[in-house]
Amino acid sequence: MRLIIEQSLDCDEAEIKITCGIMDERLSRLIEQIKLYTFSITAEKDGINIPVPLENIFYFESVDNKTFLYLNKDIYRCDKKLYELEDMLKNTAFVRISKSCILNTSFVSTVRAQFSGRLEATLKNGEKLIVSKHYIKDFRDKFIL
Amino acid sequence: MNRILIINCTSFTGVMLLFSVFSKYDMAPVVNSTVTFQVFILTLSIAVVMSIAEKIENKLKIYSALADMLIRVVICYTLVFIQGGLFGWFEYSVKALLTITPVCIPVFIVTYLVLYLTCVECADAINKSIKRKK
Repeated sequence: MRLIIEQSLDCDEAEIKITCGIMDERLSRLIEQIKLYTFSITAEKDGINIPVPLENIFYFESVDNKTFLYLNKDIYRCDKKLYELEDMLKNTAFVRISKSCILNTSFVSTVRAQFSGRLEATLKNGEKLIVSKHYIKDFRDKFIL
Repeated sequence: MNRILIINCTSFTGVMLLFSVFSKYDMAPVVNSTVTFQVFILTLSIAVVMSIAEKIENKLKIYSALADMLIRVVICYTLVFIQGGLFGWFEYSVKALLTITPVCIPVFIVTYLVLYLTCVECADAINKSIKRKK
């Protein structure tokens, strides 16, 4: 793989272009990382809308038909539905882990099996989330190629 | 699909082994090709109903291991009782519920353990992958 970086003061917006023959696993992982570090989601707190970079979001949760996004310590309201986010965040480090939650797998520090057959994911900020049985395969696939 | 296969294969093996032991003492039907197919239909239907129950548990956000176990035990007893009666293994009665216990409970425990161990294996693989990436 060749990496070409062209730097110019005339360039207003950075552009990443990938030219490839076959999209292999390593390349799709690289694209996942690029998406994670270049995209953001508009969120609202105290009536103010701000763009939140994807790489700062720990997880999205739907509570009473409202979607919230969780950062290390902050919680923001998001105007998108969970299924819309799931669609938007395809091929990123995010994965659906239950009916009401989409998790950023890059913040998972450890995983523990529960006796009920579910997984308990501990995040880097110490929060614990449950991975439903139905979503275990997708969750596992995010870590194991 | 994977879970259905695990539940079906484990419970089928368990039931067949226990049937073979109990049939020697006339406590279970003699194992022949008809009984083998009947047991397979029974274990497969239990696996499918359990898979449906898992989806319902997800929707209702039931995360307790105890509630999950209770739901599964009820599914086992209900299907074994209904199908066992239909297959002519016993007549519908309260006594029949007691008769199926020596097969139902051990097979349930073994199947639940196997499912748990596959989950532990999955968690270990993920943890190894996380450590590698650090």
